[in-house]
Amino acid sequence: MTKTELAVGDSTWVELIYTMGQHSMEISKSARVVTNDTITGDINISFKGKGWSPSDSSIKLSVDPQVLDFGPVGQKRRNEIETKIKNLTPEKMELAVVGYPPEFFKEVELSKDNIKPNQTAKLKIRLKKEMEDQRFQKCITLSAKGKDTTYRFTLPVQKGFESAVAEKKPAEPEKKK
Amino acid sequence: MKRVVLFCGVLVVVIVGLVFLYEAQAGQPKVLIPETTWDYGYVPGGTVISHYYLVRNLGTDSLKIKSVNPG
Repeated sequence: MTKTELAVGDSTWVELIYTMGQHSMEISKSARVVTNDTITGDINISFKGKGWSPSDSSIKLSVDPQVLDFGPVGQKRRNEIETKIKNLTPEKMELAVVGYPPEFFKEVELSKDNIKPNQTAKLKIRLKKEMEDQRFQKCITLSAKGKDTTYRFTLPVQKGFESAVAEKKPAEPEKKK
Repeated sequence: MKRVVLFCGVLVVVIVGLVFLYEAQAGQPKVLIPETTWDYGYVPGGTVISHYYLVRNLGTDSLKIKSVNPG
């Protein structure tokens, strides 16, 4: 929240942040916004989602990588990143970006609006110049609409954080003394 | 005695009226959150997600956001 007092006609944003568990379970969370508007009273804001693992077959889309990681802050600046979305359904899917924080990204672009079965579309994200040195964890929500199926999914976008879903390397054998 | 009671009654009505008039002139904040729910759909496990909710003041006085409490 950038402001706690709004003049007449003014507006601000309230951000709700949540860390998903490792399991493929549904979550639903809410928060209560308390203001001095005694007539309207408190307002509940809420969100929902479902955990998604790369091996989850309930969503027939393959996204690689699932986390869009701009890497550490302070190292070689990377202001553009891509991910591939592959259609594993037997029907044509219509892709769309449905939500992202516009103050962070200069460009969020899909290479194709429609993907045929087994075809791939690229999602390209370009950071705003002023965000290149910032540490952040944000996300982009997309939808894929087919004749019979509709999927909605969210891809985390981060910079300066270690990826929680990065592939774990096998543990190295202990060295003998 | 009747005059005193009558005078007090009129005084109360006038005071209440003035209070209402003052409040009407002072204005009233009006909060509006156009979109109160968000569906992330499928989210990779173990990741951090965030969503921004727009808060507007459509009233005639300044709006104070006192707190945002997890439900």
